[in-house]
Amino acid sequence: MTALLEVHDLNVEIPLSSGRLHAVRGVSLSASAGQAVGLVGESGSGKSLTLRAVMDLLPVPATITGGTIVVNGVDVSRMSAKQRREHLSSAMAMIFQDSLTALNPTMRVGDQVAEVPVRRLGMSRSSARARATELLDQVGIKDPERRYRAYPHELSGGMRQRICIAIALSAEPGLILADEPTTALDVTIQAQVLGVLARLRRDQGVGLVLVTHDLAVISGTCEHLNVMYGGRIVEDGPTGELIHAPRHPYTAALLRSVPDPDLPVHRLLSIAGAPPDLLEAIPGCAFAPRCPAVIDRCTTEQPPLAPIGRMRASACWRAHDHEHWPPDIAEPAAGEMRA
Amino acid sequence: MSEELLRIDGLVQHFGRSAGPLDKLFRSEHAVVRAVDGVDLVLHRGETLGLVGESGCGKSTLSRCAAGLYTPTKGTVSYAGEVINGSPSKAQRRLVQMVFQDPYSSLNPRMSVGQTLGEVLRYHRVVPRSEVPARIRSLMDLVGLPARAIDQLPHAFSGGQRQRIGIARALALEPQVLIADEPVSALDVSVQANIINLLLDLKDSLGLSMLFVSHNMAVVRQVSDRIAVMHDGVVVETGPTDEVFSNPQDPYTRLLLSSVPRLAGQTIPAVEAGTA
Repeated sequence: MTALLEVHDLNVEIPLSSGRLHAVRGVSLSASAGQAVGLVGESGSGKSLTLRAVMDLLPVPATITGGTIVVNGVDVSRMSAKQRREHLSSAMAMIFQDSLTALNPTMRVGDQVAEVPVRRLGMSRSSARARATELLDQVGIKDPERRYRAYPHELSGGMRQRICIAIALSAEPGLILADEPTTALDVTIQAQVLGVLARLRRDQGVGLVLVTHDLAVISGTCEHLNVMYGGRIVEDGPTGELIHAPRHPYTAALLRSVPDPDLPVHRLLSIAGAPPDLLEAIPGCAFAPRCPAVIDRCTTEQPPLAPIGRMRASACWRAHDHEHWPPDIAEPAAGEMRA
Repeated sequence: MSEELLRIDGLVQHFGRSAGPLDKLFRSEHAVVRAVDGVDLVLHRGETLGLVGESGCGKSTLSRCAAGLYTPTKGTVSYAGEVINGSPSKAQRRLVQMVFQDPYSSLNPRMSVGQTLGEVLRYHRVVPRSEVPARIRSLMDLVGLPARAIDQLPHAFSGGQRQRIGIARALALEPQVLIADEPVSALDVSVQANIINLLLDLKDSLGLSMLFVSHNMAVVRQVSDRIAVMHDGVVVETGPTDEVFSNPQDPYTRLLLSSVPRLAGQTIPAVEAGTA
């Protein structure tokens, strides 16, 4: 399968009065149709900026300072802004965390869904309207004809997020980029929205890149995971393997710090310290100051994201030495005890 | 059963504007939000009661009523057997303290940590004035903040550290009951674990009772002895945590539990579109 999206060694910097904040530091990832790729990390890890850089939606003054983004086999970094926008929006669409601000408050939601079919696909108003109604139905909105005429404020958060998904689908993209799509929603609604995304993937072969801080959401949705820390991908691999046998201490610590709804009280692992200051150059591994398994080499030399086994990679000097990690992170993660 | 520290009886809290002249003219019904619609709850000494539910179910309103911040429309809140009715006495306020959700807006941005804590200690005369600085230092110690933080303003701290300050402020009055309204939902996952562990440690070492309000089922399971599930202003199910999780009785509880995303590649049940 050819990759729809290939990102290579992406760097994003934000110029600030106090220096240049190097927010994304050499990130590479790929996604193809029908596949769900997850990007997980804490706030400030660069996961959202990576996604926005891909979609050419970086907030001012952030800029891409290096790397290539290849969409549908074409390198978009060499295109003019207009060409790039055309190319990107025909291949990909994005949904955001806050569906209320993502929608136009003065337009009926149906018309917002019909906008792309009219403007881009050149449909007539009536056929665009029919298409929009069909899309609303596809994302699980009951009584789409009536809802077509609603304004965003008349709908609940879960409904609005579905409208956003319908808008994303209206240009028939191969790939949906989702930035924390369910973070603002209640768990029951979250399950519904994730269900809609899963169904689209199954029935229409739409690819998905999901960015979230919630390991549980991502592990139930994506087959491939990328864990980000301090602007870099520190570990990637198939979801199940990564969760059952993490090969980067950060992934291991993160897994042990998330409470498990199926386990009675166990002490959560708290990761001491704070994330790195991205204004500064980090000589070694960004996680070294907080890492329980740190060795001398970690603070001086930056570990590359090196392959370990099939389809997996870890940016840790001690990835192969995981049996000798200190017991508090080497102990089986909560998920493993049950499985 | 041990002593009842906090008791809520038939609590009703409605919000709505009072009828204006136009309403009177047209005799229209003015909208009333029935945030809490008849709730009974009891918190015993030394236990943690988890209150879960989705946004808008009334859990925050209930916890604010319990802290004496609202005067209930109907029903009573009592501390240690005495009804407070929305205006707790100074002594009663010392008994029950609250930790708020948003560590960014619940601290005065122009007061240093020392001033924030000192104000509470002096107003309630927790210790003689001369001992206030020493008590502030010991509070900082208790929540794991360095002593140099005393002179800093809230903006100098991260979210997790601010939540620690919020906890120190609540603990300054040596309360017996701590009401924590979504204390970790504004924090990152690894910081969440820090604060949860801190709350559990403090509960053990100080013998606190806790009303822990959260929408996160996994977090509630970690901290609670008993849980109460709220939906649309009423409590639909209460029981020991393990029982509720392993054998939920109410259909809403079952829906809530099945919707919680889980680790380990377990697929999330694709709940088909409802009316939500």
